[in-house]
Amino acid sequence: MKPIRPPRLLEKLFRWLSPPHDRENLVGDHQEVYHRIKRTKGKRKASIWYLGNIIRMVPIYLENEIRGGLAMLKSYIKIALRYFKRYRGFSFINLMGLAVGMACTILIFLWVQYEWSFDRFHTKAERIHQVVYVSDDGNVRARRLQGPLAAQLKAAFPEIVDATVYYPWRKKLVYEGNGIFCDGAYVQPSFFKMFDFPFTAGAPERAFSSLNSIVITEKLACRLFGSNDPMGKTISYFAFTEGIDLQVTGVLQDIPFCSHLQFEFLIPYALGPDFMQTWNNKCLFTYVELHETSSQQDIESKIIGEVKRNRPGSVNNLYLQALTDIHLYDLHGGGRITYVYVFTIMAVLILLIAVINFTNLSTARSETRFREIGVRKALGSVRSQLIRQFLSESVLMAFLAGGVAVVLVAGLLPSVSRILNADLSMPVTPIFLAALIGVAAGTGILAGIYPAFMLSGLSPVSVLKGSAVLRELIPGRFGRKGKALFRGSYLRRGLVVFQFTLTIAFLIGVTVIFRQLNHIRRTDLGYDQQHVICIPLTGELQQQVSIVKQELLNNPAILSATVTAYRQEMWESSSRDVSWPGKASDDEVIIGNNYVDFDYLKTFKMEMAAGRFFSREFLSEARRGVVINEAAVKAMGLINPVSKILVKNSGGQNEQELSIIGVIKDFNTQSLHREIRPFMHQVSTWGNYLYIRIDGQDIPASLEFIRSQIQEIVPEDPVAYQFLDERIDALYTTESMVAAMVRYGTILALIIACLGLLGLAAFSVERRTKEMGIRKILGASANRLAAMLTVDLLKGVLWANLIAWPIAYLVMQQWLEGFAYRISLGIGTFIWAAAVSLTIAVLTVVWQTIKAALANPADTLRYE
Amino acid sequence: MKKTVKILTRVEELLLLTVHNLGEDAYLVGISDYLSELTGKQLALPSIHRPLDRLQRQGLLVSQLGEATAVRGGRRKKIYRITKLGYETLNAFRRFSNQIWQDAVNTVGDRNGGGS
Repeated sequence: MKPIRPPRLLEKLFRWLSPPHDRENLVGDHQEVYHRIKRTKGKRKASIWYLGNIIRMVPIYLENEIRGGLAMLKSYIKIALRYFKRYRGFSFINLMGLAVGMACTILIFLWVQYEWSFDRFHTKAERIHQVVYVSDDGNVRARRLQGPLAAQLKAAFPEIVDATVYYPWRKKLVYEGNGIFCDGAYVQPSFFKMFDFPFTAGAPERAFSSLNSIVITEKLACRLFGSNDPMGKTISYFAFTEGIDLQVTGVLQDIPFCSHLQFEFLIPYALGPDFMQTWNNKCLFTYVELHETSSQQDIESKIIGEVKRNRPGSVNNLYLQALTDIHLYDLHGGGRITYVYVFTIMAVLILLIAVINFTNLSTARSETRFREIGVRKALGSVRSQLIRQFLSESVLMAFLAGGVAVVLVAGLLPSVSRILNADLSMPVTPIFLAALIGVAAGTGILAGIYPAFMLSGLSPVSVLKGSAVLRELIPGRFGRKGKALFRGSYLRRGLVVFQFTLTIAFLIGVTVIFRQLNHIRRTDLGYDQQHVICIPLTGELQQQVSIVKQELLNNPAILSATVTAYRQEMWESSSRDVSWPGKASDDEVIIGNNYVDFDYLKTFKMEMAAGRFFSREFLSEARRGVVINEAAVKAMGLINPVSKILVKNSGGQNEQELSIIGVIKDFNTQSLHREIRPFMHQVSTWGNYLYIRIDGQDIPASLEFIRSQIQEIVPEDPVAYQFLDERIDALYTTESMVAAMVRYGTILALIIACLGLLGLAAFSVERRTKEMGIRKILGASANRLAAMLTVDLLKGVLWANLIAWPIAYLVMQQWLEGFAYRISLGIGTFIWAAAVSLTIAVLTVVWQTIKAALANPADTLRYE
Repeated sequence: MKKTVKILTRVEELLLLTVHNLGEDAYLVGISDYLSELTGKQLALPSIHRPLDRLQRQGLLVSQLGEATAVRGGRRKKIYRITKLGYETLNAFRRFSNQIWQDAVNTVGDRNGGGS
């Protein structure tokens, strides 16, 4: 009887789905039953039955696939581990290269994520904006605005749901005779509605319900009250001489690092001194919360002239900056965001270097596996299986490296956090883990794909013959396969050149950054910042400062001291509009205004360009006088400035007529990113800061002397002092951080690139062993051979230099544009980078080449 | 230490017993027919094959290839046989089931006797 077969297509499908070990009998069983059903119930029923069973086979098929895959994987991993064990050194280098690269990438991404997280924890973050201004000519952009503006904006525009001022001030708090200086801020009650700083005690709605309130952070509560309940306690707050009593009405959780607002206490703006409450003084930050339905552009177009409406003659236009942009974007463009992008790119590049390295080392060592491949192929492995094997090997390696990288990151995180001055942590979230696994798998596949395809493509006959392999690797003459492999060696060279290009570019970058930072440190600021101590004045000390000054000057180690209203090293003084006889009506000069005492010039060792400084001998002249800087002279277009009249507009009717008694030589009042701005000084013996110049012979003794003198006069006040030069360094924390990051990144890139070069050296030396042997027999000296091999390898590094130079030049030139005072990019930096890269490259390959050159030709040529 | 009893599923128990009962006829279609006749329900071949395969992997069954008939398109049958381990497991499982049943019956007796 002729057997009745199921439809061909169904049978094929069934066959494909059934597990290989039971394929024949299952097909047979099903045909038997099919035959039976067809005879009794007809073809249709039988076919439906068959189809039903095909569907039932699907889960069985999947189960078998997975089980089979796992079994293969197990065998691949076993072989990979055996291989790692056999070539321990090589595998270790390979693993570490990859691990270090991955660790570096993870660290950078943690930092990037941290930078992005700033101010995003507020639920209304998307709707809160800071109000900032730009002058009519677009040159001046700044954040500090007039105090009444916030309330005015809220009242005038229904789209603005809420608004608050924010005025940070470091002041003294006293509790039961204990005084400490803390960073605090004046805010309006709506601050608590807009921002989500969680309360641990008290409630946001009632925090400022009475005027004499203060809200403190847990940390401050702990410092002031220890373990006692802070709520309802009374603290004396010293903005000026007179303290005012404030009741603690709320305790906040400590402010997270990722907030640009940093404070230890908050007090109501209504308590603020007069200068904060007028339209004449731009000194407060203003935040607004927009209505959900209104867009930023919309409101910007409405509020643009709000200051001008309230203060005729003002030259500033308002606009908004999103809360989440404040940390990253400078008003003048750029800011930390640049570094976020730069380092994201750097992280990817370093990972790429590490991947290339892995590829290079794996292919370089491929000869050790020729025999295995030959045997596998001869025994029936198909190419896809070999590819899968090598890929799983590299993915396994990448996962091991990922594990090592995580350990490295965990170990390095605290010190990296310190260097970057950031609160980095490794989040153990599913997303992070998934990203980690993704990166490891991606890295493994990327790193393994080339070796996998190259090795699996070799012909079994030639790899098994051994010596034939070498012939295949020699270019051209030996057929297509040889050519393909030779192309491979070009690729490898290209990759090494690429690695070194990146590394050299990093090297140049790091050099330029360091030179620029040094340049800044050495730039003449227009005053002498060495051996100057700054003491902020508050309370009793502010009152007694003239006595303190007298006492201090009795000590010969104290050269001079001066009292100033604003800091010397930062543009924090208020800005004024000024006019002068002969001023064109459309001229506008915004001028910095500081109040200093008679010893100012002497203490900072500054020089006059014309006229004279305030002097005690000409008291009446000094009172009505003003000393401006050269930038101000230029901005006002004055020719003989001395004894000219200058009118200071303090807003409205409030004008003050001053006479210019002298011109001070330009000095920097802010970081060297910016040009020197117009500045004027008036005389006053009252101020917020005491600057003391010491002779620097015995700094600790001088400091102790200053401390004891102050304690004697104002015993209950703590003495806080800082060195001026340290404060100036603090202006460049971002740059120093970047310098540190780029430096470590460069060192890592260099190490990894050298590993790659080492791999290439090992490979090309191995490839040319016989050539070297023959050359030696024909009379070449070992020296010449070593030199020849080395030069050959260094060609790549030279190429890399040539490619890296223009790239680095363009990028670093761009970076330097951000500084008003900058170094010029000379050829020296580039030559230096070339010298360093070549030296390190020579050191990397020299051992390999010498070994090859010294080899006994009798050994190397023995088999031919 | 007490020897642990491998707990068989009901289907596994049925299959082992069926294989034992059918002897030389214990191939997939034979097993299916036997069980279908007893239960009155047509059992799908893949659903029987899967536990059979698992029992074989666990070493409770072995198989050998049998005759090839024309109706099978010349493909050979795969005939299953219980191993020594299979018999031991089956016996242990039976004792174990019996024990549980016995305990269950006793518990019912106690409850009834307890009155409340």
